[in-house]
Amino acid sequence: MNGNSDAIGKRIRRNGVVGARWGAALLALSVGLGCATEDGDDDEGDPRAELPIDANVDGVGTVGLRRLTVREYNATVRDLLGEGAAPSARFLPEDRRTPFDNDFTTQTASRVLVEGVEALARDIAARTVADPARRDLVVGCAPSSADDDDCMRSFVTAQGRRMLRRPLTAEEVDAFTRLGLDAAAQTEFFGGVEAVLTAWLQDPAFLYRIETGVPVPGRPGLFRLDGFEVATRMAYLIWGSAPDDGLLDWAESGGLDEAEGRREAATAMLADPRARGQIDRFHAQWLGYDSLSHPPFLTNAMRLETRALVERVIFDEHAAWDQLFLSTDSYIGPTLASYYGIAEPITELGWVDTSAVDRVGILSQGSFLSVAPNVDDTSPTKRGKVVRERLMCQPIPPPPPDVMADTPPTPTDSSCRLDEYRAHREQGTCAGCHALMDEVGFGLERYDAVGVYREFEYLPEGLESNEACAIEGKGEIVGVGTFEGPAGLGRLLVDEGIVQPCVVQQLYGYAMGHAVDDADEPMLQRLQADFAASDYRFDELVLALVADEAFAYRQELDPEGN
Amino acid sequence: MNAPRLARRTFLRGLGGTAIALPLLEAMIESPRLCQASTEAAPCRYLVGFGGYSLGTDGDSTPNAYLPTSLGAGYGLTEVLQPLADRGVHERVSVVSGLRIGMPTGTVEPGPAERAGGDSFHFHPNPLLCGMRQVGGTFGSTVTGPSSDQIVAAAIGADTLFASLTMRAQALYYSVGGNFVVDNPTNRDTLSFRTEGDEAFPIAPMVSPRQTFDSLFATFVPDDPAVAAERTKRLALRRSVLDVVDRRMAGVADRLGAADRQRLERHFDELRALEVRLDAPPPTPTAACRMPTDPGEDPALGGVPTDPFAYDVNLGYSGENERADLLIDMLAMAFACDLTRSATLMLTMFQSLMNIEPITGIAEQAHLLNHAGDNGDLGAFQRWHVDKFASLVAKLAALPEGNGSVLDSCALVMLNEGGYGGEPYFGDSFTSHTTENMVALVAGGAGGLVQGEHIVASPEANHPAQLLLTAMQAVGVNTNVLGEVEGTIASLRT
Repeated sequence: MNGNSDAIGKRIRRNGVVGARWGAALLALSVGLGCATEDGDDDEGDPRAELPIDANVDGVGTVGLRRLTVREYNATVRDLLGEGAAPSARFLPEDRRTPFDNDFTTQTASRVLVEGVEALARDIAARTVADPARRDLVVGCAPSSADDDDCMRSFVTAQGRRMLRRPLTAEEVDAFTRLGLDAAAQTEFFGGVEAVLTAWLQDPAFLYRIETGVPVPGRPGLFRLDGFEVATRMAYLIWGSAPDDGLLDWAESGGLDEAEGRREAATAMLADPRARGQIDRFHAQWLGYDSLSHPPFLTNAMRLETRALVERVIFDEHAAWDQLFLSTDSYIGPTLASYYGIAEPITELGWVDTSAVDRVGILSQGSFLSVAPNVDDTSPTKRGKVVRERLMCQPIPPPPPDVMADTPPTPTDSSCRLDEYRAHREQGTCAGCHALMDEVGFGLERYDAVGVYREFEYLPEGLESNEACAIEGKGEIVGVGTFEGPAGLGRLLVDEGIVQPCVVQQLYGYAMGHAVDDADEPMLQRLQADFAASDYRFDELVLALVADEAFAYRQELDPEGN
Repeated sequence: MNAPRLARRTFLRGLGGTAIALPLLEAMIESPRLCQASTEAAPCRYLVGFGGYSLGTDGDSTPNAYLPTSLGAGYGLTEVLQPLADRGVHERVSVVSGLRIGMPTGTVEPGPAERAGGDSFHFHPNPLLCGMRQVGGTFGSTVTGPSSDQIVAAAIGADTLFASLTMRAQALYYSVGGNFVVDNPTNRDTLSFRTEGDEAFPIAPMVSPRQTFDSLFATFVPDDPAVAAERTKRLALRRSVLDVVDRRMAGVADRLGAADRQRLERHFDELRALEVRLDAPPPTPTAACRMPTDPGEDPALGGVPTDPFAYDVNLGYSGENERADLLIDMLAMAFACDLTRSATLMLTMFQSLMNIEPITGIAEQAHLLNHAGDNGDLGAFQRWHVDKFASLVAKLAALPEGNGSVLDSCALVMLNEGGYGGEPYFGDSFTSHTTENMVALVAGGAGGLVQGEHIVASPEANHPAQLLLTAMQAVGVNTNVLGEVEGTIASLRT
């Protein structure tokens, strides 16, 4: 078996495991609720008519039409078609980061996108049918001839539900079956399969997360989502990929219509390895360390260290999320041990108490400390900006248009860098904003632009200590308090209760695919209260978000797109 | 199923490629113009090219090597400009020097089509390409106006398969995370911007030569009958798939709100435009218009350096030399076959971080070189761009049309990111971050453009947007205004 069929095999096996658990729950549900029909020809009316609708629901987030991000696209074709790593790279434009890559307000269709999607669809469909193992899993039946209507129809019905993330209507099954058979008549059966896959990979319901739902009476622009739409929201939030058969089954049974069902399904989803990858990605994009400026061996070591901590706190220990900022242990091997100046020999990867070398919490790890450097050294200003904007959710206005912001201000009498930064304090128009940022950055200065510990500034053009310029390493969040070093900063942000509500806001923005605004305040307050009530467990925050009544609703954009 | 499809296709065909609703600016189209000094009408063609460098390094006061050594016809060539002679187009390419994008005067707010104060250097597509003032201040690369190629496309491109083409040879931005240059190459990665209402949107460029070939020449019929038959069959399948996808729009759109529907409609407008192009009859072969050679797989994408301020000779290059040649071949043929009449070609990006060793033999990264290297080395990088532009001019000059060549009906402008010398706003004497003393190349005989002369722009008309306006008028666009800039460089037209 090659790598691709392995991937599909794993998917099937994984679904088997998760699906078995869901299967039992589904059985229990179906006894209580009466089994939902699986037949696409169901004539008993729109199942959406059964959706429970609360006309008084509040805190519903505004969401526009969202296109799969490049990462979501890659994960989706991996999970649904067994496609290998990152097929998008050559054809799809990169996503903008704000800092998250899924901000739908930045997604504009272009000719290059549409042509890229088409070229990629043809490539992926061709690769899928050219690999017998992948092909057979996707098709799911053995055709007796090129015009085997039954096999084509069964493929369209089953794989179509995965690709479009909901059951196809009878008309859709007919149309795609006809496309497949027409194309098969000109080639052979699997040529028809290839044509259908090519069409799905360009389908609006595949590329975009179409949420229509049912209008809520008396609430213009407000819609109750159906189970499949909710399943898709959950899957791309928790897995960064499409819902699988098990989750679609839950949706179809009505199991996601109520909060408890969503909570139960999401709990199972969090046990899937993809959830770990997704929560890691969220943190990495949030704090900016998802792409680091280091040689690969170092980048990998740093990413691994931080991911291990995130997984340990959230998934393994189910500890309070603020332990991310307080943990004295770090998952490191020889690379980071020498990088961090740990004296005792470390020969293999493992958990090590790093508090003796002043490494406590995520903010003192090389990953975070490598974010936002200047050309040849740290930038206290940029570090402070990251802390204010990302960890405290306080936007900093851009500098006025008449300043050169990529160089420190004119040198002063002192030869010390930080004195130059302190000179900002003397400049009337700069002082206000720079105090907000620089004073924070000063507290991280004992860690250089790649996170190596130091006690003196470097001499120009090198890493030799400039002993005339000792670094105090003390900082202040003006208006909050003083701190020493990244460990102290983390402790302060936790103790003052600043970072916990902020991460709720960040996660909610990520879940909704755009920056939050005032209208999201009621929802944020509920989630922040839920987060606190769970003793700040991040997995509980995800569950609270998914289980919140508003999660199953959508407020559409006004015609102006706001 | 077939009958309605044909009917709908006929309808689409009737739209003649205007399914992408560019505003039809009737007032901007002059009465039918001959773009060639002959009795035979030829379409006018417009191009903006670009290289991401300025004309001098930091602190280096050696003379500007991009500047010809003399004025007028037969101007003296420097090493940088030597490819014009080597490619045999010295007499067809004019050099316009003395251009500048001013900095704010009297107030920190930039005036019309000025750069904002501060370090706004790499963020000035708005003044350079759209004639609009820079907005967003430092690190602001907000664009508020349409770029000139889009105005040209609306005026003269409505009848072609592609109202405009946007290409880029530099395959990647060559930077990841961690610094101010990198979060995104926002608006530094394209030359083309369109507007809708008050909003401007970047147009993503075609980067993959293979995809560009697929896109431009899908319907062309190769000479080999077996290849042609296979291609026809594949094309038919592509069409039938796209037809099904297209029909899916209707089922989705009417369930969406107005804003979402508008976004999805944009997607489907592009999809229908693709269908129309695949449905178009292959162009009638002429002496000039032939199907170019299939470029095959793209040159491999190069590694991205992890540090934008470090240099690694093995990273930061994706075969841009070959990519540029392939794109230029296809661009020339797109003009010759009248697939488009307006195009942009970004050879390297604003603040290019490309590794230039493979194209110059000098082991440097462009941006670092442009700051800290010497002008001679920088000249080698500039020279590569001049050579590419010269090769496009030479190709067009070799494609016969009417009594002359395709070049006779072209207005091609090659812009550079920056200029040479000081930055008056800050009092620096020599800095790469300047837009003083900019130089551009102009080629083609459309509308009586002066060819083969070195012209110094007068202080009354020396904005790059005025140069673009001159070229726009030369291809028949009846406007005297680009963004906030008015007027042309009169000495560039006979």
